[in-house]
Amino acid sequence: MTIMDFSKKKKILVVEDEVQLAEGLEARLHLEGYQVIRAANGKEGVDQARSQQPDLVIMDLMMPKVNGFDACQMIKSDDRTKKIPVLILTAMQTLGATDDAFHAGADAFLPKPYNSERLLEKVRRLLDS
Amino acid sequence: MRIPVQKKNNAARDRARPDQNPEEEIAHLRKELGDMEWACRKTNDGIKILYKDLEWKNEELKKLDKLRSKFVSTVSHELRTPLAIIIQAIENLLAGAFGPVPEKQRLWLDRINENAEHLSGLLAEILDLSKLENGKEERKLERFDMSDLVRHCVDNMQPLAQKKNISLLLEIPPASPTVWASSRQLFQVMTNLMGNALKFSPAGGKITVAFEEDKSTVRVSVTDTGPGISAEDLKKIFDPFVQVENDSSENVSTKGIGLGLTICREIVHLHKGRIWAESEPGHGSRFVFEIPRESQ
Repeated sequence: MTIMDFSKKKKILVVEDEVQLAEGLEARLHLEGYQVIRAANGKEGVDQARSQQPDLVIMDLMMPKVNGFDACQMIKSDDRTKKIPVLILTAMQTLGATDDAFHAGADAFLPKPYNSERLLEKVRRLLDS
Repeated sequence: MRIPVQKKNNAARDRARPDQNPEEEIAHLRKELGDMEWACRKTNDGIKILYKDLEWKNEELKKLDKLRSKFVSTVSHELRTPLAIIIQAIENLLAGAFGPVPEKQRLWLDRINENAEHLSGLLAEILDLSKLENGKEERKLERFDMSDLVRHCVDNMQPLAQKKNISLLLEIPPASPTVWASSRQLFQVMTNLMGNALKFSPAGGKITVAFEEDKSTVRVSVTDTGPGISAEDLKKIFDPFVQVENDSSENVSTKGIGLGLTICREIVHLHKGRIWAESEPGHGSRFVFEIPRESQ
């Protein structure tokens, strides 16, 4: 792989405290040709979004330190990161959680367990927009 | 507790005859009064105990209700996460993320995947019903075109119907009414009813989705050419965990747990509507629901 190829790859930040899920997600995104960076909680996620400037953030909601709602809000209210689309992935399957996620500025929402095809569809759509 | 006191009172009057010596009479009445006081005190004590008991039971019920909601959210999160890991892992394997998969292994991975997806669907059903029954389901009411929703459902089901060689017909009046309701919930009702019709219809069968309205209500019916339902089964078909026996050999992964129609009923009732089924064995079934156009 050349340096040019690597720089063209879209960079996705996965913010997820469940290591196995994060690893699984990373493997699938790699397979689709994306570059993946990871953060294990909301605070790390916000820091990484600022320093790494990913093209997309995929974020869990229930996480230690800073939860997904707050992390999303922090990303969306910071001039350096507010243009990065955020896809929320969560096991909290209530209408309230969906509303809160969108209120926090999330661009898309997908409940767990999710179907990989549906996830990739959303990822492609968010990266294209 | 008032009745025995009253009885005593009457008894006292009966016994206090005018021919009795007044002193004797007074003594007698005094004794009766004492008895009554004693009975009153006992009754009061009884009420106090009952009240305490009721207070305690009320607290217990509140605790149970809290426990139940906590159970629902815990189950939701704690079961969903490992299931998400399993599904993600199988899908990765099937997608070839860790190298090529031999045909025989693919067959079994497909089966695992199918069952994991099924489990995920069942979990969603259980949680849905639990939230509905608990009154914890948050509803978002909105104004929308009911015929759009029905059409959308039919379009969604069309590929599955074609796969089973079942024709899916839609009868919609030209003018489409709007309703004030939860579109997400009514979509779920439609999906459930049509899913059942597809499940029970034989190849070559026909499903008709009809839509009617008048000034204040909208009515949707799903009619199939399936085996029909016996009168006995019809009576309990909306109750939880009831599954009608059917001849088609179903495998575990397509079989539900009998909550779909219960969820439908709960949702329709939340909309102040009604739902029912009409059927005759051998002549198909018709499921109908009706909701007010402005449900609260």
